[in-house]
Amino acid sequence: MKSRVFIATSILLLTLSVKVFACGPWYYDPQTYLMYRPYSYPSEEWEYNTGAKENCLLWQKQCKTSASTEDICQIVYKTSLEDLKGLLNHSFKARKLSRSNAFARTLWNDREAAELLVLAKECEIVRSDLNSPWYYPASKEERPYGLDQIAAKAGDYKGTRFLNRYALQKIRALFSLREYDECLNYWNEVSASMADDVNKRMAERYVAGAYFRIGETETAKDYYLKLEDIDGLYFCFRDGQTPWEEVLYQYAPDCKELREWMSSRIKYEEHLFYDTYDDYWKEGTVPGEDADKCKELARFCARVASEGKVKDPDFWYYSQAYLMLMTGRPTEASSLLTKASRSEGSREMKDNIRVFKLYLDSVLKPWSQSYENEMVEGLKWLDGMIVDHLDEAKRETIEGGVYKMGINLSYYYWNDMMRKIVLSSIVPKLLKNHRETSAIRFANMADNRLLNLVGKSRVWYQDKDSREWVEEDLSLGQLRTGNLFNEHDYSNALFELIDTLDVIHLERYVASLGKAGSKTDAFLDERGYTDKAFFQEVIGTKHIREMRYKDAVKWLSMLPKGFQTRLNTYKHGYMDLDPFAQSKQNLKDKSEYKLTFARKMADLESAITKEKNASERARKTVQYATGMRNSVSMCWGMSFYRKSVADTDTEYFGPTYFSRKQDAVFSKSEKLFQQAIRNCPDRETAASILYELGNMKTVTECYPETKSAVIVKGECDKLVDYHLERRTHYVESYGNGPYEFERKAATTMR
Amino acid sequence: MKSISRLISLLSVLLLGCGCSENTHSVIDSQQRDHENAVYFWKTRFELGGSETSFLKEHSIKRIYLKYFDVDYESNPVTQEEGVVPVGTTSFVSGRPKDIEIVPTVFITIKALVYIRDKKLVTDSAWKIVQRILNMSSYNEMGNIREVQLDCDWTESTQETYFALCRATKDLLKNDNIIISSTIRLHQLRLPAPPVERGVLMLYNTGAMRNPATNNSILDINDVKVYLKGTPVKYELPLDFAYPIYSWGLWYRDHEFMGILHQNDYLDASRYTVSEENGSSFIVQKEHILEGHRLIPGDMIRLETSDSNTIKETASLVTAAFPGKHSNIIYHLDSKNLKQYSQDEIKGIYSY
Repeated sequence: MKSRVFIATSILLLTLSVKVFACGPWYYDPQTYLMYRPYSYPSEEWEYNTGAKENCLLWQKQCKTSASTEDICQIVYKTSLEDLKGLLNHSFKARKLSRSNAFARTLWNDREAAELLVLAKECEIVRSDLNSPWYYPASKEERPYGLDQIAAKAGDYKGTRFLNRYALQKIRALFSLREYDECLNYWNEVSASMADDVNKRMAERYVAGAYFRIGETETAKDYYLKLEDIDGLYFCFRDGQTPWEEVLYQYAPDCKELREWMSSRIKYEEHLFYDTYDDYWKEGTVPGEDADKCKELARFCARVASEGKVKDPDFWYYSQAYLMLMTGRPTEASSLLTKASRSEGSREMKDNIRVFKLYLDSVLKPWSQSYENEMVEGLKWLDGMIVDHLDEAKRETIEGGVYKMGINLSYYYWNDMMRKIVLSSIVPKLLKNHRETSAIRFANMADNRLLNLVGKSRVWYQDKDSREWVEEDLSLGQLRTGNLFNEHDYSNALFELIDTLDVIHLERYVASLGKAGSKTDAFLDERGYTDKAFFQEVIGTKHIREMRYKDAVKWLSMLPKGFQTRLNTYKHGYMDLDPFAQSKQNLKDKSEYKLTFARKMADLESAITKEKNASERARKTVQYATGMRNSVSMCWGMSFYRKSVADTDTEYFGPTYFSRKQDAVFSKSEKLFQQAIRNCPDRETAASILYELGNMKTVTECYPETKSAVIVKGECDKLVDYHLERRTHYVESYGNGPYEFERKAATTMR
Repeated sequence: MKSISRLISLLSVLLLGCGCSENTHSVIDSQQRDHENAVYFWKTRFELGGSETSFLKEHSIKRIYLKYFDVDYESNPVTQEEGVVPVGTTSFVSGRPKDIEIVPTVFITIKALVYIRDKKLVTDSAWKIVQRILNMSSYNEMGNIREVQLDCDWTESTQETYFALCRATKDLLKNDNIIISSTIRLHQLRLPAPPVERGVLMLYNTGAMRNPATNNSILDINDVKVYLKGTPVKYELPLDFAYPIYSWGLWYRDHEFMGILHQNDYLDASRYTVSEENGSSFIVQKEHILEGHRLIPGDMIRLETSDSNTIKETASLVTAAFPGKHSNIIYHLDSKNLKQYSQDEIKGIYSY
């Protein structure tokens, strides 16, 4: 239950912290992870505010009751005056209440406490009426108008047990009566005897208000400061002209509200800056009016940071730096961060500053060995932060699968920042510097470090037998080798990178795995996913995609038996069809699907070369071309891991090139078809090839005398070139190239 | 239900009665009210002790001008709302004395007046004031209300708002046959009369209390003379006269005026000692809050009182200046004040 509540909360947090498209796609550029992180104040409990909870705990202690705080809360805050009086007077109705609520039972036997609650409730009711200061009942039946009596009664209390509570009621009543002098004199008499608890603090709010009303704003200010009641403070000192933040800075420069205000303003601009639709970050600055706002905020930050009135100039320099970043001045931001790191403040803020500095360095510094060393040291530190801050709650959420790194969804700050720095800055720089292998290593760490740390992933599936939904925590190994969908390894930045890079880089990467390399490589490999088979399978697949079947055989042969069952494409049935059939036909034996195909293709390549009989060569060529064509179309699971659908392409490191690669294969296979028909000396054989391809119209038109044409004429009412139609349909759908080779070839032959 | 119908009635008046001419006095009503002894009651706790009750009987008091509440501007630090609110509402301990009419009186501060300059705020405030007066009267069984009095130290700059408030209040009360009167301070005599049915000329607070050289800021005949000089022979309103029999403390720190203290009892030896220089002044001994002020050791409080001879002299002067029927009102009914005057002295005041 706890975990579900947490996951629900986490989802809420996620929806608040990231930008989403209305209907998808759910993808965010890694650059857009939000980095500004001023403070993390503890969130208030949702059930009731901390003051109320503290009060309930105090009731528990004062009444020596085992009643839960929930029961106490119910009675203290939600029970009617009538019911409270019932508990005091032991009414029949209240007896029922005392059976259902443990604190009501306590009050049943504790007259002193019940009397106090009745008085407090009366005071609350009358004060509620008095919220409209003009209220005055027209008759005695309408409302007992007794705040003065309440004040007097509260003042008559002679005990010690509820001294604070009665004092609070009296102060409340006097304040509501606007008897400020009496209120303050009473406070001055009684405050020294009051224990420092929630009631005293509540009373102090009224005292502060009373001082304000009698014109002693300085004293009121001191109280408001002590109570951290910034609204009250501002109210004391507002003049209608001075902005809120200036008043706060003048009178309470260290209050958290001032920081929250600045943070919220910057957060607002940050969301705009990294907004998925507008992409202002690509332009390097927020637009016009917002840029002006940022500059104004930056000036305020600069003033606060430099005037020496605050205890945390580091926060103000940090904020100023971030505003500089969002107004296109990253270099100035960087020098401000140097100031920030040398200024007083908190350890937490220094960590935030270091993250920001790491990012800016990755953007600003040219690639060099010294920068690389420095950067790796920074990443090691960041990695330590990921480890140190990974508490149980975060593990739980990450296990639950809410934190989808594949689409760069934000959840865990330290890991987000590592991904932002690595994926948006370091990897592109490495690629630019032709260090593809290193780029793969960094991307691998960015995608897998946290998963390895958490080590588990939660899955939900429908049990085949019972048909019930089952929730199960699997280790990463189980997830990767099991028969459930693997949502990590084939839809992340690493995969996109290896899927799009030239295969040679991946081969070099695999060759380096497990060998003694640099310390950096070792650091990265320890945190990445380094199962060679995973990469070997990708390499083999890429060779099929690029029609190098012998190489494919070489790499796919390295895989353990049954490896293909780990692939999502296999699990989803994209490796079921016969790649050499002209229409969809399931294979009886689909084990070693890719390897078997690659071997056959390699064998056909060899056989075509060796074949002396032209007609037979033509048949083999058609079979080879059919396999080639099918490997990127009907049997696309042979050479790709997902179909290219524009909406789901991330295209971060380069275009996801299903179509482009597919075109090349189509082009070559079609040339082979054309060549086979053109070079086939036997018209019967040519016609039968066309017949097998399904080009019935061409068979009857171009080869009317052949047996194939006779069959077609005898069995078909409507003559269609099915193969050609499919090509035409492809052209209409994708618009990339004419595919009328069969007709051309046939025409040529005629 | 009764209160709802009253509300509707008041609202109708408010909506429909805006076009009434402002000087249509209820002449008969107001004339009937001439020549009646009256008294102000200006404390926040309406509790009549034996001496007060005897006073009412002894001097055939027919009306008590009873302060119900003040209307002040307030900004709330909690809700951050601002507006005009009733403050210092009187709590009722005693009932209405037999055969004595209660005239609810409301003091309007200048801050409140400045705030309600907008016409809508004026009518809204008038409605709230009237509603609250009527509720307080019915709740505390103050009998039939025939007159309501507004008290305000308006000046030329705030005159327009005050007059608008008077007009709105008068319109609201008209259907209930309640007249409206207003206090008139000496300095206001030079200005147009407010649009009400009667006025009460306040013959007190005549001096400059901030000036340490002022002899008696409550009532100084010379000050009155200055104000009456050049006053129109015929004032636009029928006037009654209010005379002071009160005392107050003027609070000074390092010879600088700090404020007025309405408390006239400074005999608590733990807090005050009598000044050696002046028998009517007191020196604060212990820090404490009084009437919203923090008094600290060393502060001086000068207790001022009203001299009966000066009052009589003033009465002669004003009755000559404004000849005709009028009522005399004493400010204000408080046993502490009363005991400083003999029966004859009081009768003497009422005899003018």
